[in-house]
Formats: sequence, structure tokens, C-alpha cells
Amino acid sequence: MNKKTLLVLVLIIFTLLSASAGFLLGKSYPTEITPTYSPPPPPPPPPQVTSQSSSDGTRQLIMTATLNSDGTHTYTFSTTSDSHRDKQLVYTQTLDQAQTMAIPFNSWSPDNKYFFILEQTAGKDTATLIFPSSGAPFSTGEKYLDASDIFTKKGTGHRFDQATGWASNSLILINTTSDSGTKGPSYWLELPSKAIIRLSTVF
Amino acid sequence: MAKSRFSHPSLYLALITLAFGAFVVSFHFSRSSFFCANTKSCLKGYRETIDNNSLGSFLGQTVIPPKIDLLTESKDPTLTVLGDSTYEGEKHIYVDLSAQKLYAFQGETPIMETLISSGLWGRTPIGNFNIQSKFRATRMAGGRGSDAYDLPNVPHTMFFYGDFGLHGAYWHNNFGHPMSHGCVNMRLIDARDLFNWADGPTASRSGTPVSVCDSFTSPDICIQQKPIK
Repeated sequence: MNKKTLLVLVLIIFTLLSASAGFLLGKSYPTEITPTYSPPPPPPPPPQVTSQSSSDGTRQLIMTATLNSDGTHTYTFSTTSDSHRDKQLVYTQTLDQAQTMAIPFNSWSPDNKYFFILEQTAGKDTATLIFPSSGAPFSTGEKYLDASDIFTKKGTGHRFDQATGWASNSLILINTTSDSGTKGPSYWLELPSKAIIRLSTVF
Repeated sequence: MAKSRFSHPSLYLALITLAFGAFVVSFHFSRSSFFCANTKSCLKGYRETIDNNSLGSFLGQTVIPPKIDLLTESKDPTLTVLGDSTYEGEKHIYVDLSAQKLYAFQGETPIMETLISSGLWGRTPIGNFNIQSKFRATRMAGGRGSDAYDLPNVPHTMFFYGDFGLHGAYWHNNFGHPMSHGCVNMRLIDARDLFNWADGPTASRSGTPVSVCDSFTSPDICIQQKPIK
């Protein structure tokens, strides 16, 4: 065996040993591993959808409440006709957890030209927002009117308690409380003039 | 000795006649005032009246009655009837005055629950009645002063006592609160559905029973303090 052949053999053996060592070192053996399982975040709850029909059943007011990742809720209101072909987005509002929004049973005006929705805190109506159902703003340019705000600014001497519904196509019935906490007189809020009219009958 | 002015037999007779007449008149008016929710139209009686050309009035406001086309309605494929023909048992309507709600049951099966408006300017009679007549629409008028009203095309009217009835109300949307002269006002779609479900009287059978309760919990618990019937 000459030197050249010997050198080749040594190189082959060295190569084989290196490969074996690399294989052995790189091989993983079962060890005790503490699993660090982190479940995927739960899917957000599906949006809650509620709706209220107009008296004649030809229009629907739909409220969709979506829970956001920061705990707030986004409320979206839209209207449709009975054919459901012309869904129209009317209003969107995001509120913190302490507040909610609702569609009352008497939301629609008898002629379906207006509707109102409620903003509530702890079950108490804090705002009564009235919209033209056409989606167009009021002639004064306002997108909506707040019945409780209008009433309070009139300074009647009574506190706004609740808008119960519609006395006619353009009259919202408002019940009040007196300073002593007893039931006060009822009022009309006339649209679109915003006039507040005291009634002799308590509703 | 001259006779006293008040001892003449004819005078006694006249006084007795006058007293009797006053009693009859007062009895008639007290009875008719409770028998009549709609003081003007009640006196004329009721029939099916469809008037698509007149305007109505309520609380001093002009209102436009809904137009009624019987021919189109008879062909309406979307017209639904509450409940199901498979439900068994007697139909019964309950009106809860304290909660301002109406319930319809067939046997023990609840068919409808909705808000209503009962009497504010006149009392809704409490008691147990039956539907006496059904009209697709009629005209109602009554009230005095600021609460006077005249309403054509009052839809889906079912009288259960005198002219006290269940019917749709197109002139207001304040259900859940008293708002009528004694009738039971309902949302238009509720009145329509109830009308199509309830039965009027036939030659062999009374109309669907209607119980008006001070408060209602279940068909077994309808509290009536002073029922008139």
C-alpha cells in the first residue's frame, strides 16, 4: 500500500467518522418536556340582532349589537321594507359596558315616517333618539333629535321620565316625574317643530 | 175646608209619572253609556263600512285611514292564520288590563301575546264575553271636546260586549298604555292575525270567548274584581 492509497483511506475513514458523529449529535432523544399549551382565544360572540316591526308590518327596524375586543358594544341600526330589498343603514353608536341601546315596542310612528330608539344606563332611558325613517336629516339639518334633551331644555319644571310612544303621526308622548318624585303630567313633543305641549290627561 | 194644592190625585199621578220617567231615562243613559264605547257611532249600530275617501280625526289631529281593498286581500298569498289546525282545545282570548297585554290560547297552547291599549277616557268592561260580530272595517266616532274622534276604516273589529271591541288602531302607536274610549286597541298586524284566527258566532256555536281581567297570570288565573258578566 503506497502513501497515496493510505491517505485516501484515512480521508474516507475521517469523513465517515465525522458524518457519524454529526448524525449522533444531531439526533433528538425523548426528554421530559413541559407542554406550554395556549388555547386559541375564544371566538367573539355572534352579534345580537333584534328588530321591531311597524304597526302595519311593512317596515322593520333592526338593531345589531356587536361586542368589541375592548369590551365596548357597537350598535348598528338599519331599516328595511317588508320586501327586505332596501336595507338602509341609519345609525351606528359605540357604547361602554354600562350603557345599552334598545328598540321599544312603539318605536315606529303610525305613518312609519319616524322611529325612535333608546339609550339606557342601568335600565333607565338616558336618551330617546328620533330619526326620520327616510334616512334624510330633519329640515334643520340634524340627523336625529333627542326627545329627553329637547324636553329638559324647555324647562317645564318636570323631569323627563319616558317617551312611551306616539299619540299621532307626529306627536311623541312623554311621561314625567315631579321634583318630589311623584308622577308628573304628560306632554307631547311635536315633530318637527320640537314644541312641547302639556296635556290635561296623564298617560 | 179647601183641599191642599198637593193633595189632588192628578198631581200625585203626574209626580209619579215624572219620577218614573226620570228613572227610565237615567237607567237608559247609564246603561247605554257603559254599553257604548263609541258614544256617537254606537247609537247608529254597526256594519262593515269601508271608506277609502274620508279622513279621520283623533286628539284634534287629522289622520289618514289605511286604504282597504278586499279584492286584493282575498288573493294575498302571504295572508297567514295564527296557530295551526293541529292545535286542539277551545280558543280563548284574555285581556290583562294591569299589564296592558292580550293573550290568545288554543287549549293550553299560547298563540299570541302582545301589548294593547285599553280604556283611558272610558272603562273597558271586565268580565267574560264572546265575540259577537266581526267586521273587516267599520267607522267609530265618539268622545267629547279634546278627545273627540271620528275614525273611518277601523280595521279588523271584533265586538264582544255592546260596541266594546278588539280592533286595530292606525291613529296611534302607544300600546302598553291605556289610550282608548273602552275598546281594546291593537297594533294593526296583531289585530289582523287575531281576526283571522278567532271565530265569530254561528247558528250553533258562540264566538271565541273573551275574558277581560284586572290581571292575568295563566288561563286558570284571570282575576276579575267586579265582572259585569
